[in-house]
Amino acid sequence: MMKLLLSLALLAAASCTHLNSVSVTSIPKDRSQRVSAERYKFLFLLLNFNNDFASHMEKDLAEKCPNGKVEGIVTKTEMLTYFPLIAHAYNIRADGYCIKK
Amino acid sequence: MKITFLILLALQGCAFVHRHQIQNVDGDILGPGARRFEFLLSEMGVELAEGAKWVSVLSTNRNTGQAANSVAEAVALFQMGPRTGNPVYRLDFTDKLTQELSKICGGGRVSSLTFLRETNKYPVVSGEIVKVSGYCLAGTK
Repeated sequence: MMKLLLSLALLAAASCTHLNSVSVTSIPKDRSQRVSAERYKFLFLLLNFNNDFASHMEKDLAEKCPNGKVEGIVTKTEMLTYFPLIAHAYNIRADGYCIKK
Repeated sequence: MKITFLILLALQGCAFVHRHQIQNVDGDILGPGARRFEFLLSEMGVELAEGAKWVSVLSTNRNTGQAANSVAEAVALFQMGPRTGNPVYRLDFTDKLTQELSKICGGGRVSSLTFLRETNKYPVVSGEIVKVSGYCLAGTK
């Protein structure tokens, strides 16, 4: 019983986040207005047949900065493990600064 | 045992995201003069260690399986180090990226580029892909 509890505790403690990548574009002088976009996909048993969830993020940013330009964009790609093999997720986040024309 | 393995083989197609990068975004992409484009640059990746594993499981001869594992271990020594996806045999498959981007919008401006490095994984082989998308802005320099 003790072994089972210990095993379950260890498995639960295995939840963690892996940083796949970070990128950044040139940072503007005007950094007064921050905008961001985020995409998330839950993976059951690590099954994932396409990465379409990551598409059109630039449109999300543009919609938050109409008639302007988003610069200084930091894009971060993460893999989350909630429970090994069973429950995982991808999270992609982009933060930038809106520059009005 | 082998039937279970074959079912797993059939279910193994999976897509992985390695890296996603967004360049500076123009608000003009929401306007009527913007046209979205998307193209892929890809190459076949091969995971020899996984191939050896399949050979050893599916083979009826134990010596064949052991030999396959030995070869895979030797090959793995040449493929150590950090990487995204499986090894490929052609390194230059992304070299035409700039060329493709230059001609895709004709005389217009290429804007708001995004790059997605992904792997489409199948048994033993994989598609090592760079997906590029962006917008052509007509009439702007």
